[in-house]
Amino acid sequence: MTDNTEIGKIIGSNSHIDYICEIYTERMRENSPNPTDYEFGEFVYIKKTIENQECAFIGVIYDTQIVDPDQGRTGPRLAQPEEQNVFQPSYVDEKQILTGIAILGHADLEDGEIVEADHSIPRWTLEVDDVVRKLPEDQVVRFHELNDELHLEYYQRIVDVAGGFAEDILSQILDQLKQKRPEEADALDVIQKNLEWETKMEGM
Amino acid sequence: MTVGIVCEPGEQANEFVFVTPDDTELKTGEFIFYESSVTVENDDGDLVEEKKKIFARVTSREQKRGFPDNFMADPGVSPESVARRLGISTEGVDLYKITATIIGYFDEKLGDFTNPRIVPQPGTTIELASDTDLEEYLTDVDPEEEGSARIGELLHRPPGKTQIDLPIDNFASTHLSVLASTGSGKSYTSSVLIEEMMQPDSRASILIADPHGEYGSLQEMETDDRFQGDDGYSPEVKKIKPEDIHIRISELTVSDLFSLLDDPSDAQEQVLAEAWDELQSGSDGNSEYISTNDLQQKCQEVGKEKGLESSARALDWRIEKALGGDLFHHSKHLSLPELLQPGRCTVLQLDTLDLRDQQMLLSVLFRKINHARVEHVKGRDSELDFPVFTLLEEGHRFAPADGDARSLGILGTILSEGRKFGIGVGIISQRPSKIDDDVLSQCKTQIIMQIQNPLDQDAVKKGVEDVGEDLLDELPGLTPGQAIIAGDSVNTPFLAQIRERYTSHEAESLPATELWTDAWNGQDTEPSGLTEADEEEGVEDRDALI
Repeated sequence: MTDNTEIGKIIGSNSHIDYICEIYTERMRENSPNPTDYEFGEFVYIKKTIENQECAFIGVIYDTQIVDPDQGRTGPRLAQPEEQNVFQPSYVDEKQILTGIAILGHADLEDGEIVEADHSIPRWTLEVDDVVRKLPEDQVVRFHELNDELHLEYYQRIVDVAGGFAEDILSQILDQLKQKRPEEADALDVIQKNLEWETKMEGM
Repeated sequence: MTVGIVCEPGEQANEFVFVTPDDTELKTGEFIFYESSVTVENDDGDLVEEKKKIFARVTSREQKRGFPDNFMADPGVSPESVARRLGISTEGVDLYKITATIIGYFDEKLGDFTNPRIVPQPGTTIELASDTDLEEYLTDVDPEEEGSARIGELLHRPPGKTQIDLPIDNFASTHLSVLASTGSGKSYTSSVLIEEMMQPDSRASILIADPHGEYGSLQEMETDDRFQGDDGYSPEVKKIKPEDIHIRISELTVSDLFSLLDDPSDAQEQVLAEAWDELQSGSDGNSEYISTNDLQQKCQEVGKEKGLESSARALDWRIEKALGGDLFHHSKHLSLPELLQPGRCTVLQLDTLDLRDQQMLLSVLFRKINHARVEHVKGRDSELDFPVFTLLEEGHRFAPADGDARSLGILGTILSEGRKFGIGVGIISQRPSKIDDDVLSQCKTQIIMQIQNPLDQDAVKKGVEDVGEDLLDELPGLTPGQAIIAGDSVNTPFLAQIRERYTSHEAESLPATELWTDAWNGQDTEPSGLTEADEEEGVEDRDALI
């Protein structure tokens, strides 16, 4: 894959398909990711080698949380804010951006490219400190190509994991796919309209 | 073949519901069965438990699971394609809940179905009834034996897989009705039945009242090899043209005469009745040959005697008007031996007779037939020592619901008592609602084809007792040649496809556009008085300055 932007690392999980990623800050990496690299709805992958086969867990950022341990510590400090880096470095480091990643499927990799995508839940788990990378756009389309058709077999899983955010994520994905493959737009439209109708009308 | 599994009892006591996947395509009217133990009496008279196939008929079909409507939002995108993209299996998606009504197990001793009065347990497997079982159980006749009429095959089964035979003895004695709207195949179906009845193994004696001249092609049977018997039998088809149809005046009854005269007064009726009595009693000579003149003269005599000359005079022209036509004759008539013989099918072509004459003719003929058959059964000399079958096209003309037909009375008598005397009647009609209720309900075998008129559908529902609502709901949707067969000749009603005729069919609609075009082409279409422009009068002045 041409774009190997590392955006963070896995630090925990809520379930087998719902992981928490801590976004690298400038203190952790020299080239820390831009906010556009870990935006809402961004496709990510985690490279793993399982049974000697290089594969990628493919997921999507469905949620973001910012964490500031200083929040609420309004008492007086011994140091000025700009000096706190020197005297209390851990406080500063603990300011984090955490993203929720829903795992959508997995794929075998060959020479770093997706060769066989599978939208089922991977049987294996990610581990703490696994590096999360941004999935390039061409690979996003490739991940959706099954039997020469665009598939979103993970649809219901996103709805389950992302809850109220699912419609926006799926719409974003569908828009992106329609743009890349206009010949599939009609079928994807049916899915998108159905999604909008169900999520928006249910709330009425 | 297992087609489903019972999931629950149905709403009615005899119903149950089972679930089946899409690919079984069980349609309404299809036959299925499950196996269950029932208590039956064995040959020794002991009650024993025996495993029997309990047959049932599919009465409704409801989709239980299928693609949501939302998947069909774009007519250009198939729901399967949407489902596939979402990782939903597109194979075996549809599930149907089928309601079936239990018919029962076939009781060999009774030769009919017996209902065990219990519905199957949930979980019981349901199988499709085999073609051979249906052939054996639906009608009570052995196709290989004499007296079977091959009517066609089961509608839901692939062509050529089933053969349905009706017992001729049954429908020919307990009467038959063929009800369908125009163009659905009434006369076609009737012709199929006639073909079967004229086969060497039946050699029926049939009389057809044919107001439209649709049965002439049956004559092809005479030369068709399929109808020839090894013993030299060959069916005879006798067409009687309207001009050869006569009623001998002496065969009329006094009430026939009253009905023929336009509203006679009491005095006229008295004179006529007395004159008729005297003529019939034969005191003046031969009572068999009475002419219009004889009747008029006798009326004059009676009028004089009774002091009712004016009534007799008034009767004079009325009699002339009523009996003066070609139909009534002092000596000519249709004799029964001429009309009815075993192996002979007589077609009375009534196309040019008016309705009242048709009714009168049938009335006289039926009375003669009935009398002859009663005489025979009572052991007296008779012209008809064999049963007869009569087929009435446009049956509502002869037995109208409003009762206004001379033929209705005798037809009613024959339908209610004919069975004992070997007279079978087949009523064919496109307007069941216009047929007398009693007449319709006396026809114990029914062949019902497409009927769209709601009034006619209601009439069929009322007049035909044992056909379920589910089958009658099919009536508007049947296509020509498809029929519901019900009644005494079958063990349970079923949908059938009528077989192809051996003889050609004559009741096709006229090719109007072709006939118009031909007629137009035949006309002198050259307009008269046309002149070439250069030959017109005054042409030489055309270019002159005004």
